[in-house]
Amino acid sequence: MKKYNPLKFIYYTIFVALLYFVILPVLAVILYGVFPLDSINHVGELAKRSLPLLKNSLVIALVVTFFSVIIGLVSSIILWRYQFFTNKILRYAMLLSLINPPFVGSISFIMLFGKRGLITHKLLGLSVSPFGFVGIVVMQVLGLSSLAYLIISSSIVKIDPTIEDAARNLGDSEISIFKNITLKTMYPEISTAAVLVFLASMADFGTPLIIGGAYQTLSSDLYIQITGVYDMKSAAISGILLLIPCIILFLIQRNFTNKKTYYSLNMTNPDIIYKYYSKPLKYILFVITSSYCFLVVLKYSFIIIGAFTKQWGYNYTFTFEHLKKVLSRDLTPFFNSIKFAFFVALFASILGVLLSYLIKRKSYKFRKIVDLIATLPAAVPGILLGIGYLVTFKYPLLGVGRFYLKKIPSIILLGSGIIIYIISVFRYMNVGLRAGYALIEHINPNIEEAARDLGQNENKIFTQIVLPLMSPAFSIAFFKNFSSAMTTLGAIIFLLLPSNKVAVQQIFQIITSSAVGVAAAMALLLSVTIAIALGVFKFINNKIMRIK
Amino acid sequence: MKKPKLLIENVYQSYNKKITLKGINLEVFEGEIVVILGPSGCGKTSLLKSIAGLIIIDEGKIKVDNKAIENLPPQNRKTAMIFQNYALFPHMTVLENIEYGLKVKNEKVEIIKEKSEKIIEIIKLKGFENRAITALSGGQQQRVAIGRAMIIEPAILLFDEPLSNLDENLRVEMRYEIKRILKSVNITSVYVTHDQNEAMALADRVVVMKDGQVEQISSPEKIYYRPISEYVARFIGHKNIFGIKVIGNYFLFFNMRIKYNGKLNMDNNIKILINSEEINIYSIYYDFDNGLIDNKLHLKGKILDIEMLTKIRRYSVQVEGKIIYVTVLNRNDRDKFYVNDFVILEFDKNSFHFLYK
Repeated sequence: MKKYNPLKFIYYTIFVALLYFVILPVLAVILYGVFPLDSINHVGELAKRSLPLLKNSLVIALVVTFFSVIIGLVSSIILWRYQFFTNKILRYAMLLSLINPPFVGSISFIMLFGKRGLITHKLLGLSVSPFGFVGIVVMQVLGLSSLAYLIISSSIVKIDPTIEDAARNLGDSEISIFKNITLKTMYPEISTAAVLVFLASMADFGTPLIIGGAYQTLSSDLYIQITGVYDMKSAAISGILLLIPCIILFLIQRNFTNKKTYYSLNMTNPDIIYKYYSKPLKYILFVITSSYCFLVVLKYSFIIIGAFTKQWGYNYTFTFEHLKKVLSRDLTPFFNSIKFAFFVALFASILGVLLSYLIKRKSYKFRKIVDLIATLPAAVPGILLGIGYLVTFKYPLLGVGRFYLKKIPSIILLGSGIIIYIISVFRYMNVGLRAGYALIEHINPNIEEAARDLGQNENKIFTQIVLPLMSPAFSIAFFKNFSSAMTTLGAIIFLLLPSNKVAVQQIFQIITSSAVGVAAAMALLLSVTIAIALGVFKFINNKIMRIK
Repeated sequence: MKKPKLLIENVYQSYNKKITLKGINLEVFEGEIVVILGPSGCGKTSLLKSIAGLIIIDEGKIKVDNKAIENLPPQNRKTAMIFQNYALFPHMTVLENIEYGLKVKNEKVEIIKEKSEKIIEIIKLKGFENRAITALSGGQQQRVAIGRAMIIEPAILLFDEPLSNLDENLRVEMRYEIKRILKSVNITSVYVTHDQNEAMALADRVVVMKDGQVEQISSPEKIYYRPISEYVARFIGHKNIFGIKVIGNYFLFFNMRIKYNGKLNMDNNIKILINSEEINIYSIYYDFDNGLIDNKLHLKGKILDIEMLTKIRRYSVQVEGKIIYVTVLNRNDRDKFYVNDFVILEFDKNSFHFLYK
């Protein structure tokens, strides 16, 4: 008899779960949009309606990607290859956007450029609303450049600077070295950053909704169709159109650029400074970086100001009113948020890291497919996956009952509190998976062999050797997932119940109903909550678990 | 008189307030291989990078072909460096790596092709031109690095511990290869290492460095037989170094009064070096007293430990509470000794080498 193998069991369970909770909902959206076939003409009409939105989405995503990657690259160079005394603080400022919901920046945009905005109304005396394309692009660039910076800077610190020295030594000019050596070796991360920014821009429905005015995108249209017009069919068609470029880009990135990374294992020269670059260029780059950071900080200072002034645009006296209002409200959404983000980050990170090990170090079947499905949610816009869950799991027996078991009253996932956990775990699993892959490359397989050689059994090797070695990947994934789960709304917005409301959803609702002060106060509270929570986790991580 | 190809005059350099080079003077002649030897942190790599221009010196002159280069950026110095980790361009093939230096000079395609073919011939990588760098073994990567540096026909080739990432056999093979390549094109080279065998095998002259200063510059032979200081002697691998007490023109050595013909400076803390290969070792058959007969010293001792080092065998012999090391060739027809055997050590008085530092 074959021995029961828990790891193998876990692997195939995850595989089935992935098929069920990732592939099925995505397919369901497509099927929902296209079928029944007799209404195919209708489908055509709906698609025609959605096409201009697709164009808007693509144009915005391309422009945003372009600027964000440039800013991310320039900042990485300035902050990691030059020594400015401001670098330390700017490195933090660059990451500020990551602990806030992406649409929160729009609050300050409204404060500055809205109908009663500081600049448009007070300074220029205008009463126009410059909402639209430029507003969306500016807000997304402000938010997403952080993401681009995070990824690109991770590559610039790992590139072996001696290869640049080697080129210098062979007589190559600085410009050519940058173009042919530095940039090319950073290419994998730059392309990853570009793809992720593009996907995030495509998936962002909050910003266009709040400051897009008449300029809407596919994602915001999805939201409007479902919450405003209750037209699932149109939403599904828009969803398919949204999905196509995302999936295509995801597959291109996966097959062509993701294969190579040029990290060196030994960093022999930690003082990587460009000594020979021209001074004007250096200062131009510095100005770009610091103005970006300045804008980000400005954005948040306006949120803080907004949170403590009576009524934006009318009365700028200092007040605790908004904060009191927020605190006097039911605070359960905040606690829900923390609980939700904690458990989602915990399970998503554990499963992701575990899966990375099972895929890389075990010889189970379907490894490539499992990897593909597990990383796919990174490409599927959250709001679309949410719709997928909506159309899949409103039927009994976890959705299977839709076609066959109509009469059996059984578990209905939709409308249960658990569904937002499920969707988020599967959505964020890829973060742990990536972190796990990156770590495994550096773990010598002989360590496991050694344990095996000493007579340890497989399961204990896993718990005693592999798990402790993999724990840094878990920490990385946990931090990232926790802040994502606290601040993103896309996937869960349609699945929330009155009983398990989360803070980010409340903020979103308040912004859309234009109570700027309260929204600002809540956003501030949320950011502070995340910062404190991350601080606590980091403390536990460093001091108690002693993981570096 | 020969003109130096590379001239280093009184070079000072500091990094993060730590002084790494404290007044280095060195000449390297055309076609010569000079090996800079020293432990990590002695400034040898800093010196090499200063020559290449990858770090900036605070003071002093560096001249190549009698032209000052210390203020030139690395691009304009006619030096090419082989890095410790090879620093090959990971996103290029073997051929692209090798041709890089010529391409940046906008050389004609035919010339690039001709030269790269020749280089690939020299570094014996024919058939590997289109391989990815990551698909090469350590030794092959090493040869690509050498080829990439050589193709630009630099005035001086700089090696930064190029063999430290290779395993022992490959290291021996590669240092032979490097010498062959360098001598076949008669290129001037400065080679940094901490491995004394590598230094001995490659160098025309060896420079031993200590704390950012040059301790000794000599031929490999002289460095070995006539080290000027205990530091050099120990670094090169000598172990039999003993303090002596000078009384007039005698000195005390293992309680034996030994007459010394030359003049010994009494003020200095003089030490004696005995090369472990110069010592004969015999079995002890009779009652024996330590003593000096003709010019031969005899000492009684007991074997404490034996170390088999493939071609040689090293005995640690305890003599009056001190340990004297004796190295013999591992010949099968030699007498072999075992731990706790009593032995006689015999060596010539004239094989003493005095260390004044």
